[in-house]
Amino acid sequence: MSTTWIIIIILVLFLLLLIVMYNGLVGKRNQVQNAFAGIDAYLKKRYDLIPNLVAAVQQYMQHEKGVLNEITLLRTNVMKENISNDEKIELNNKISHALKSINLAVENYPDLKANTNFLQLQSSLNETEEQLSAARRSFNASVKSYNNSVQMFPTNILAAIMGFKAKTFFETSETERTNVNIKNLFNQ
Amino acid sequence: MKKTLKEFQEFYKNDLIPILNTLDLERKSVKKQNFFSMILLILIVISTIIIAVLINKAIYNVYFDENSANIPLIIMIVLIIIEIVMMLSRMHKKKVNFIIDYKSKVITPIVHFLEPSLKYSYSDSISLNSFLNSKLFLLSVDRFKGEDYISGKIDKTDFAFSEVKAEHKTESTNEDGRTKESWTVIFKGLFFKADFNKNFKGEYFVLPDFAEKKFGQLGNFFQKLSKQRGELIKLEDIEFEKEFVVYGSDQIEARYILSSSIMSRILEFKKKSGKKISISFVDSNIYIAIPYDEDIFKPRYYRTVVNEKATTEYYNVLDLVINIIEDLNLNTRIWSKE
Repeated sequence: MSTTWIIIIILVLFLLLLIVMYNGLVGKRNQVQNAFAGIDAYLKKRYDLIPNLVAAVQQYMQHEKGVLNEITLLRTNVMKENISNDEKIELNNKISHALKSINLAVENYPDLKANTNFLQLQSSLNETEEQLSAARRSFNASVKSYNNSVQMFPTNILAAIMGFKAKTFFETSETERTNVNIKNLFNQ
Repeated sequence: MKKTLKEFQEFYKNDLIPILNTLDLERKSVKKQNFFSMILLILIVISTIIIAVLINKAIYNVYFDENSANIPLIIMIVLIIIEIVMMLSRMHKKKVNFIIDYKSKVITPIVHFLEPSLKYSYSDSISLNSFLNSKLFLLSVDRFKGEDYISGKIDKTDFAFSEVKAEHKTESTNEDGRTKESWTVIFKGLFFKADFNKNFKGEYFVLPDFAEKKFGQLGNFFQKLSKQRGELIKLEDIEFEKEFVVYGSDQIEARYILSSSIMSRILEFKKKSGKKISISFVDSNIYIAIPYDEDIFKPRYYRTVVNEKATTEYYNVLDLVINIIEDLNLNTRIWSKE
């Protein structure tokens, strides 16, 4: 009699362990999606600020028409329906790059730097960029945690069976890594 | 407008030494007075005893009568107690007045040397409210006192700090039914509060990391279990993670506050202070608790106060704390908070 009980208890414990591991994997995967949604939210916030920025800056920055047009175009493209996630990421990286160019160029326009409307916009944009950066770091942290579970023993066995796959980190694109080239800015 | 140690040494030589010399005369005078007060007390007590015993003999015909009330002796004991208490409190008061005088004459100039616009008050303290709002210490506070309060605004940042001692009382009843009180120190040291340069909604805690240093992975497991302060936040900076454990309401907002820039600054500050600091971000403020075992601003009483090393210590501590604002870059207000 007692051996049967022992076997039953072991099986129950094993089942409980499986449940805990499975829930852990699901929870971590959800956390990754949650973090990605966070990135999306801040991208949208930035998206909404861009037209205001272009309008505020246009009157002053006569020579920077090139980069302003580029950013308006990028913005329109990024919200199109049919682009893949990777394209979205690439476009958003280009927007980040263009924003940095604009910030650099602003140094040459003291009138613009004194304009309160522009200053407020710049603060909001800075904040959004910083929040975006925080969201990306958060995303990477959740991906790391999820990948650890998917790849490390013993959860990797369960992960393989149930089809949990490792995810990719958010990496800085080549566009962002190259330093802003001032010459190109003026030649556009 | 940061001041260097060299500048302080100049300041010490030119401005502080004359003040310290005068104070040392005062100290010696107080010591002498108290010494004589002590002698006077002994004489008074001896006289009281002699007179009382003589009166007792006169009344009862013996020095001490076991069978009667020995009223003069009782009065004598009461008088002696009164005399001792009065004299000791006089001596204590003299000493306290000296300390107050010292603080206003020495600490105030050092504070103004570092930053002329700041206010120093030896008797004020960071409020219990502020201490509790920081949520850095979760034990209930039964006794709270503080002193040496410094406040002001540097550039765009309002801030204040003081020495603080918070204690917790536990009562236990032993077998006889008697209750015994015991006091635990929750925190003793410098408590700092400043206006933080970013807006945020949640609450975040950067605490000294005991578990991770000792137990690595297993420590992480236990840290996750402690849910009182919100979620465990694992940050990318490895050095930072070794020294601190971070909890908070939201993963993204935590990283918004704890940018890589401020993380390395916090680490630098921790190394500079050499203490187990705790930090919290609550309600748009940053709170920092720097533990100290001893009273920081107490002047020497039994030895000369004209001591460059001891006086420089005050400068070092004040310099450390006042520069938190610059060290943590709190005056950079490029986001939505002004």
